[in-house]
Amino acid sequence: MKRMKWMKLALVGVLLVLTGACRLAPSPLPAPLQLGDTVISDAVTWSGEVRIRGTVTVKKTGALTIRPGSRILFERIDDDGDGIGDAELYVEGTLLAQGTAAEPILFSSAADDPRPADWKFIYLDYARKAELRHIIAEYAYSGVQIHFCKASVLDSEFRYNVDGVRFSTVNIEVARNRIHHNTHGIRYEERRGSGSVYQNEIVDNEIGIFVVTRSDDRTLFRDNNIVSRQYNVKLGLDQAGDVTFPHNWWGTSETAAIRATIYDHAADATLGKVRTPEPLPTQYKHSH
Amino acid sequence: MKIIRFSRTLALLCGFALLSLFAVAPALACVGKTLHIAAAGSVQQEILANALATLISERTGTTTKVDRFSDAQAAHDALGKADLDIIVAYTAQARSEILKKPAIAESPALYEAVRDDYNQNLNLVWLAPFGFSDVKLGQAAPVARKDTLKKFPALARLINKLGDSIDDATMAKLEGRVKAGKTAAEVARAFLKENKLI
Repeated sequence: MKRMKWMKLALVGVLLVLTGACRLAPSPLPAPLQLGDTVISDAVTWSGEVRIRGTVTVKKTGALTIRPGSRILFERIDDDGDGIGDAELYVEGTLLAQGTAAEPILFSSAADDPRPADWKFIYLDYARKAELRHIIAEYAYSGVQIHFCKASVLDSEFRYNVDGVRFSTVNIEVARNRIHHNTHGIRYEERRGSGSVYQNEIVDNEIGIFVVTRSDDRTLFRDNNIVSRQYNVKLGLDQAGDVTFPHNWWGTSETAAIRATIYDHAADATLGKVRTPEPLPTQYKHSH
Repeated sequence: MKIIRFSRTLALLCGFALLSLFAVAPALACVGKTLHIAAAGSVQQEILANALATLISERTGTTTKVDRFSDAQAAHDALGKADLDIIVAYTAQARSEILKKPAIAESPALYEAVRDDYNQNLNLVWLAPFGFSDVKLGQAAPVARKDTLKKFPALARLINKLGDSIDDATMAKLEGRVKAGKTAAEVARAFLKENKLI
């Protein structure tokens, strides 16, 4: 009788140990979702790791939601040999990529030795709805390209790309982002679009802001810190109109020194002028 | 009936007007075609190809690539097959080796003859000469495919900013910098910066 009791106790003990061990052992991570050329036509949610080898297209009827902490990795493929990776996320429908400060969403190269232009871009083209918040986009040709739609790009980081943030013909809000170590921090063509670009750190890019063409001064850049390696603002060959960037920090408060960071009419008389009224005397300090 | 027809026409016109607001032709595609520029087997070619590549990419945002060739003939053949967009050619060499025609002694006449021949028979456009001459090869100038210039309407105007910007002494100085250890890309970029071209 006593032996039975001991045996029962031992059995319970073994079971407890086994259960505990199960709890302590790390649960295996889910295998990454592997995607080649893919079309999304209805509601889809991504989480965890997603590896893309090709073009993922979110059609007009599609809605892609990406959960905080997700890692979207693009494989380095270059079938046309132009030196720019072919993998991309192309959105005509809805893209909601909203991470958190603690759990941003990463869009990056899958290569072990990543470099700029390993993958092409997140491309929003006539997108129905596009909200990017707390994302990190790196090693792309363009971290994000936005055309012919309304979009917001907030609290995110764009680094090690050819173009950090690029847009044309949009209604856009770009705020509180850190855009650094790209060839062009922000590159845009208004083409009758408009935008509000404020409280961004646009630093350590070769060119801070590249105004390529057809901009009529309808994109307001204000309260940004813009300090670049070559030029803070450069006008493209066909940008004949003047553009204004009020109330920004340019790395210096001296007028002549600010002028030296700008490529415009002073270098090529066919270009417009860049005006920088009310330059901030010190860096813009974020309240958050 | 007339009123309905008028309303339809008005609606159509408004639709077209709205579309035209947005449907403007893009200057350059969103990644765009990469422009390929030849460097054909010499330090001078490397410097000039890099100067063109850097000028184009810096001023327009277009991606450019310098492709290496063993000699002028190989680069010319690649241009003819549309594997390239721009080469740097020399007037006397083009006249004798590519066009297989008798030499012309006078420099402006030679440039004009070669330019017209390339334009009419090869669909290639000679742009403004850089400004220096090689004793054997003649005047150097960029040569571009006609369809490339059609796709990039501002390209000729941009490249022509290099016209007459490099005389014999400047070319010799740039080549000297490469021989002293700088890369052709560094030398080309510095030259463009010094001349406020980028």
